[in-house]
Amino acid sequence: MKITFIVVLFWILCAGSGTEARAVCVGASVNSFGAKGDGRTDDTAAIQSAIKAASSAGGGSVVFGVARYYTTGTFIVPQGVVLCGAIEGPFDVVGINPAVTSVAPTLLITNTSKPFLTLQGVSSGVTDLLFHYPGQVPTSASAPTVYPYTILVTAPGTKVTRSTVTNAYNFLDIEVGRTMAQDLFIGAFNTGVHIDHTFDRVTLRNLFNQVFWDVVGNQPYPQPIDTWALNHGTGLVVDHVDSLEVHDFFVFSRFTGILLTDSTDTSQAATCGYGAGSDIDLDTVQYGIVVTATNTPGFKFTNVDIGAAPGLGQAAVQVKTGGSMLAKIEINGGSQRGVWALGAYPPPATDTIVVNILP
Amino acid sequence: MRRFSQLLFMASSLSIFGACAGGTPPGGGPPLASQFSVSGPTSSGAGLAFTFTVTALDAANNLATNYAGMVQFTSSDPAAKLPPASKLVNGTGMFSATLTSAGFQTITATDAFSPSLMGSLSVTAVAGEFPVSSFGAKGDGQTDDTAAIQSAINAARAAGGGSVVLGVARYFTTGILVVPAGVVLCGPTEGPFDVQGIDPTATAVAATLLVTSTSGPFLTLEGVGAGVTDLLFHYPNQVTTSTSAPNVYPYTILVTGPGTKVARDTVTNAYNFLDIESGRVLAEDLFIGAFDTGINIDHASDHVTLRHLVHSVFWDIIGNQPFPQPIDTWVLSNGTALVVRRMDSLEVSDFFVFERFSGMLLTDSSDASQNPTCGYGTGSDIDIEGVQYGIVITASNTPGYKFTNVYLESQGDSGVAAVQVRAGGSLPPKIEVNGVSQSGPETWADGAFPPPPVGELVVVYPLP
Repeated sequence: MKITFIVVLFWILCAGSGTEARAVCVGASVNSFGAKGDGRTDDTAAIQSAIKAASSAGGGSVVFGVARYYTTGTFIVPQGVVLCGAIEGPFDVVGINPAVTSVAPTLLITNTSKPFLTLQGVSSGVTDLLFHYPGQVPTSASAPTVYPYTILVTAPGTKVTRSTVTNAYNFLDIEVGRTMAQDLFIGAFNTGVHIDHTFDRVTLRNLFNQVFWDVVGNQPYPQPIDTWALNHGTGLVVDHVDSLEVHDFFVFSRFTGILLTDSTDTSQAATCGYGAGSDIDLDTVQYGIVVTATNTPGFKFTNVDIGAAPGLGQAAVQVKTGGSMLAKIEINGGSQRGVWALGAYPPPATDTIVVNILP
Repeated sequence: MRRFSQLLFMASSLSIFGACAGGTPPGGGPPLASQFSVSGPTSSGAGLAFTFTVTALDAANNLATNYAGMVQFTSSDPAAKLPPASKLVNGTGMFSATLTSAGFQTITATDAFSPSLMGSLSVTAVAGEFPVSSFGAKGDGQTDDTAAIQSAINAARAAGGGSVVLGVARYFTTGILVVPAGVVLCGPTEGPFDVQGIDPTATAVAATLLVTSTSGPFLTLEGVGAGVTDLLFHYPNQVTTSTSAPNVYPYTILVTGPGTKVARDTVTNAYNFLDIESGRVLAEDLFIGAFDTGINIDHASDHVTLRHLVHSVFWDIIGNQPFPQPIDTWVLSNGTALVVRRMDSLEVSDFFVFERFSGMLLTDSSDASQNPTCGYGTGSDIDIEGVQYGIVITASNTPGYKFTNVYLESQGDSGVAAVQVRAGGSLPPKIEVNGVSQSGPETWADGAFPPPPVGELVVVYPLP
């Protein structure tokens, strides 16, 4: 990890440029539509007004300042409208409780009926925001409160970038292809990212699934809620996708890092997917990657490192039977650490697993 | 643009002042004005004049045409240049103001005798920001905005550099633009933009530049710190997808100076997109729909960084047309995503290609005055699908090209080779592909990795 940061620093220093790139968020502030951002007043209607005005103007940025926007409702983001924070994200909030302190443009979510944001129009997006659930259980609880996904994507040409979620149940549900998600810090107890119904490529870059709930207040790991996530949580679930591109994908402390499987919607021509990935680091998991079904030519991952959760490791990569199509996965440059009850790479009952293992 | 802003702030004002008291005068007659709606841009460049509109409305938000009072102007910016007290005509009037203090400011219109009759406009004044709307650009998809945009660029340059900001609108152009040192041409929302089902000629979902000039590269980045970010480029006069060959245009962007960047942009139906003719250049997060050449690099005697480039068939998704269209057949016989000539250290990562003749061509420059005329570099996460040739190399400088995590897939039965080394270059070509996977071995006519006649081809860890 440190080497990565040094390389990035080096790149920043070397990519010569005299002018600093400006924030890509020029538009109407939600404050000018009456949003208070005081952490108490329900800003749902004001934010909806801002979105409606941007949509009426043909599209544009809806700007959130560094403040806590308390909400009780949900939002539809139409064509050409981007919800964006006024400063660069994503935001790691070590020692800060986003429910009481603003260090970023923060949306406080309490609605339990529907996905909080639905990206419903071409070129709609979410950038540089922090999402927090103030009504979520404390880390001393043994199980989280269930909420719908924070973000549901139903239109192509959409993007979710440079954002953070701290204590969601499920974070991002991508239900259409030609979607991009990058530079995300994801603290979701159950499912970080779910992909289905995508007949074209989905790009995931620099996703960081972590225990962002512990860092709120600097609590030692593991808290009781971590035990729940270690027995239930999954970083990425992939159902039907026609060409996944995943790069720089990090998971810490989940039941499963990546689950490649069939969709429950059997009306689709193919219910499973295929794709390529690289720089995948799955740390402290019971299962690293589980595959039950793939479409041709399967999944091909390079530079993969998988570490077992102490005393809980089951398998680094496991191919299971029972899927709609034969499961095929290639791990090129794979390394693993820890003790796996089933073996690091247990032989598949059927189907294919190809592993070129680094020493 | 102005019309959009008016609509936007009409909605804003209504939400703020809609609860104000007022009503129809007793006994009927024309309604009384009870509020002002003040509409205009949401942001302005500090020190730059902008126009705004004041409209008198009754309690039901109808235009109060009979309002005959005097409107006075105040601002939260004590240094603001404001219009004198004025009357409205038929309930409305257009005015000009200049904010000079950077930050979140308001301009308030108040009736001279009835202080409760008022309305405000919120404007963020930004230092170093030059909205093209302040220089007369219409963004209506019809008016030629070339001169207005170049004026904004020149003003930014005269100020020592800054951001020239386009709105979510369609800026029609007939000419070309030069971006000098320290000036960044940018959109107001995050790009790049995938426009499935949307025709950028008719609908703006992003800051869109409609390009029609055939006389030279549309944008030339010629100085340190110059850049292009968060824009969508579209050629409204390009042929339709049912045509068998595209119209030829010069490159959309030509980079002639170091320290420049092209980021988070999309082009939908260019002929050639990006020509990098200098080292120390960064290109990242680009969606490229170019029929002939996506990116060409030459005369780069220092590193060039390419990150997260997607070359796909962005022209087909306009209108959701099934693949392949006739124009795709042309691209499958002619198009190349990346051509690298003289290049001292290419860094390419996360590079995706769908449906081209070849993914990468690593070859000699036609400018033989350079020494050497070819290049070298490294790359990773290269995914080239639906091609006749994946990577073709004819020459390389020491130590050659080294690529890791490469996937190559042939276009149906027309695949020729995944990686092919050819003779005839200025220096022996050398390429290593480490961790390479390819699909379609039975359809690579020359074999996936045909033995090189000269130079060296090293394939490490070929996966089945």
